[in-house]
Amino acid sequence: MADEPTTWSDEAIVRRVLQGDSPVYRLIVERYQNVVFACARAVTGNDADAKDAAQEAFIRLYRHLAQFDPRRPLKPYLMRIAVNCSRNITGTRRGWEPLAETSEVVAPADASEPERHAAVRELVERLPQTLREVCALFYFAEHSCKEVAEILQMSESAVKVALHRARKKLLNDWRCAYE
Amino acid sequence: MNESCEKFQATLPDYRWLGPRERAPLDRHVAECARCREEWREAQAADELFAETRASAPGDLADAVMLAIAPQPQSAASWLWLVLAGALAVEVAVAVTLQINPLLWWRAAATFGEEVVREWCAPVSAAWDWMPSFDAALWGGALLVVAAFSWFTLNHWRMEHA
Repeated sequence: MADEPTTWSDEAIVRRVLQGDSPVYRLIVERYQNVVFACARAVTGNDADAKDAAQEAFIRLYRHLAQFDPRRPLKPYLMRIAVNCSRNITGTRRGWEPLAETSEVVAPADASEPERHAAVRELVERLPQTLREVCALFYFAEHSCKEVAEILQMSESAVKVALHRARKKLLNDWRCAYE
Repeated sequence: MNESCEKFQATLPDYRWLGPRERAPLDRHVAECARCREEWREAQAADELFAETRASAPGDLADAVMLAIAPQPQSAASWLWLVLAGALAVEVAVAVTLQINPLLWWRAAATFGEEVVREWCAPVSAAWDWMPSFDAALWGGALLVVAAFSWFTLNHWRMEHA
């Protein structure tokens, strides 16, 4: 069905919200909540802070919707807000500080799936803040390098270098933990 | 590293957004170049690791957001502001229409209030002696009320725009 609300474009939803149909905003939240939460989780390093950051991001987007041009893509705008909210919560600016302590992560060979996920997550938290933000936007929000560069106000080549470094470090740490 | 390798390295991060026609030369290069093939495998392995850490939003996130953005009922302070502003507007409108000095309303109210209080306090003359000038007390009270409402309004505005 062409008129099913869940199939409405972001632009159509934003226009409706701006016309006073606030409940329709739920469609935006439901559409992007996993992406925003995953990015916030990668930047803040824990579920509670990620939930606060994601909630704050959606509230800020709603409050500033009148200043947003609905013809422009919504997701990069939302992701920039989400990254800023996550930074505010962790009290950091763009930098190179890892979230996790540098103690050794050792994943047992017979690790269950949740244990394995927790081990990988801890390795991601060891990445410096800028690399985490780049990876979160690239892998979880599925933005291209160009979009990541625009959101984080970096050059595209800096994003590619950051991705390369993050991959190398993650794989090295993973091999060290498993081998 | 030759020109094809450099092109491959630059395009690798955005491989997933490329169409079949754009992917074809990269795929051919990967098949031929051992170094880029290794790079390609590492990228695939990292992609898989990142996919494992992807978290899902808690089930109540959308409800929490919708509750937070729901229109709040008018606060008591803003209602009182509306009443005060309305009373002032009526006073000014009547004063302008009847060409009366608006301060005369205030004087009339102050005189009436003073007489009522005098009547109440008559049995206890000591209480009346203790009281300051009724007019000054009224002005002081009015200033305190305005200051309190200003503070509430400012605080409310700050919280809204935080």
